[in-house]
Amino acid sequence: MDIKPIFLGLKQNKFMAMLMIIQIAFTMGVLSSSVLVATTTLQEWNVPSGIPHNDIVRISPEFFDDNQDVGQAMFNDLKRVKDIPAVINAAPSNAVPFTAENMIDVYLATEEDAQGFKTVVFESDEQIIDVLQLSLIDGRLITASDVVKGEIDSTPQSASEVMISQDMAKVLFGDDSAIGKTIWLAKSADPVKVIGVYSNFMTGERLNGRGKSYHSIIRPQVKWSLNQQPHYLMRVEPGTAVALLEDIIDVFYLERGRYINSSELLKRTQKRMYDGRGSRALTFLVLSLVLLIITGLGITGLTAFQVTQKRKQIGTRRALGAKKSDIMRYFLTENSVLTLIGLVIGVAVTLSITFELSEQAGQNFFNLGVLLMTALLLWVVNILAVWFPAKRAANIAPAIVTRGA
Amino acid sequence: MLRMENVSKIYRTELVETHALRKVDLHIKSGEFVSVTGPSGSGKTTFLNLAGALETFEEGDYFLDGQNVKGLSDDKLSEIRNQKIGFIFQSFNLLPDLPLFDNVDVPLRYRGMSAKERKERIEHALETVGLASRMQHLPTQLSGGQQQRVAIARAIAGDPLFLLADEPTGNLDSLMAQQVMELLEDINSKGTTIIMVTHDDQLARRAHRNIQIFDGQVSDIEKSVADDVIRSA
Repeated sequence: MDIKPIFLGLKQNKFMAMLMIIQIAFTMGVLSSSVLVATTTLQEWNVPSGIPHNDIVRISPEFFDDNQDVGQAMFNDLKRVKDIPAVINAAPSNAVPFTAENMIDVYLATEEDAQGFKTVVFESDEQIIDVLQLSLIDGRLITASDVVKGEIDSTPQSASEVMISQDMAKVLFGDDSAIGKTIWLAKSADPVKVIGVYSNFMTGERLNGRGKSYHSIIRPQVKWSLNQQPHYLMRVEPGTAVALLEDIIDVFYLERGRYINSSELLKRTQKRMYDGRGSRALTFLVLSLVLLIITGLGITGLTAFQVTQKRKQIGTRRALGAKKSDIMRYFLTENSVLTLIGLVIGVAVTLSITFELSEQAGQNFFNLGVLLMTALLLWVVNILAVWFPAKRAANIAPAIVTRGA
Repeated sequence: MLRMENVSKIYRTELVETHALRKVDLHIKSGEFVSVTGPSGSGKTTFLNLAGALETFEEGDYFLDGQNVKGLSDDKLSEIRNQKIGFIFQSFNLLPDLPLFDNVDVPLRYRGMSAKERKERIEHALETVGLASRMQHLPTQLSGGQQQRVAIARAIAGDPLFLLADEPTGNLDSLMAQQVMELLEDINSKGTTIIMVTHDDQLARRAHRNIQIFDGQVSDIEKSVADDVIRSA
């Protein structure tokens, strides 16, 4: 089957051709973008957490009694939990690994056009490094004397030294040592000095989604108020976390006027994070599938409509010597031409969408293999969508030409 | 060239059997111009469909150029239609999306000819029907008579064994009908066999031979007799 008559036919049916091309291009654009995002999301499924999450418990208590002293309660809490034999260490923290969402920009300068680097700041005391089992890569660990503690309103000063994660150091300073370098946690904030670099650990989905899972800063300060109460992270003897959880919760209930908002193993926190991620990827894939089905049905409908409209023409072709296979080939080739044009436009749309998404997320979503596989899938779906109406066309009897005027 | 022996065509439904053609015996020689007439519902269209290998039949034998058409596969019948028969339809049946050149090209492409040979044949056929200058026009840009001439060009381009014309002037006014008939006669005079189904007695009379179909039965009448029969009808 030569291509020329097909192009001539399409030229005379521009509206129908455009409709199909737009449909295929749109589907390709949305489908491949979704698949690329979903694939990228799923690819990062098993990024190591960097911490012994099976042996860490998080407790997030909350006072409902406004007359309670949060600072004193924290002191009591930490003492009580550390008295439990199987609890190895505990630390208060404003954020919890896997759920740290308070993303900020950190700067190397304060000029207006200075570039910001996404990160999450963990405010905690000197025990956090041991609780999370982070290793010291460079510089020194924070000590008790570095930690600024106090009720927020009565403690205006902030810690002037911080530790940063290995990946954060690499992004900020490349191969240079980060130790002694100055950074700003906001353009208007006072500068802080890097005193140490620790091994990477996972922060939360907002940074995961940007390919910056390990960008974090630990600031040695614990500030509280009734509106901003610390979470507690406790590392326990390996394998005892599940059995200990109830005992730990009981300890926290010894303090009056509050309830436990959240209590779980970090293993569970991590699972929730992955569940959310899985749901997101699944949503993308299901939407893609629905779109694919709609497009397939749309193409089937359009082709079936054309077949009905062109019954006499198809019969004429059959009378003039076209075999059934020639008719099938005609429709499949015509569809392939439209699909090819639609795919080319769709790929351009995909590239622009993924470029924009990658820019926004700071993560490369592009994957040539996935793009080609998506195009191939769409092609196959279109062939299947055309197959049945084409088969119906091929079965039109040539004798139709002698019926009626 | 074309020989039917005891050919019958029966259309069956669950309730009814309709004998559209009954035991047709017919022999058409090369170079003849044969008209086929008969009232509505007599079986003309069925005869046309069988003669054109557009439909299959269950009883009898139909030899085209020595080859029995009966029982051939759908693909084989397509080949026979493509290579041995030139169709001319009442409503022209040109493909509206294709320029004249490409309309004439349709059966030649199915034959798998080289582009060069196709081009030569198309140009020659369109010259024969006087439309060489309008090759790139679409059918809708032509009058009915011109469209039928394109259909004739399409039919003769493949140099078929015979032309099968189904009411070729049925949709034309008398002047255009006259022109088309003259064209067919001219083509016939150069050796091409023509079988023309028509209900127009005047046209039928211009053929060498008239075949009449009544109630599915064929009476084959030589021209000398045919004129009398038609006149007295």
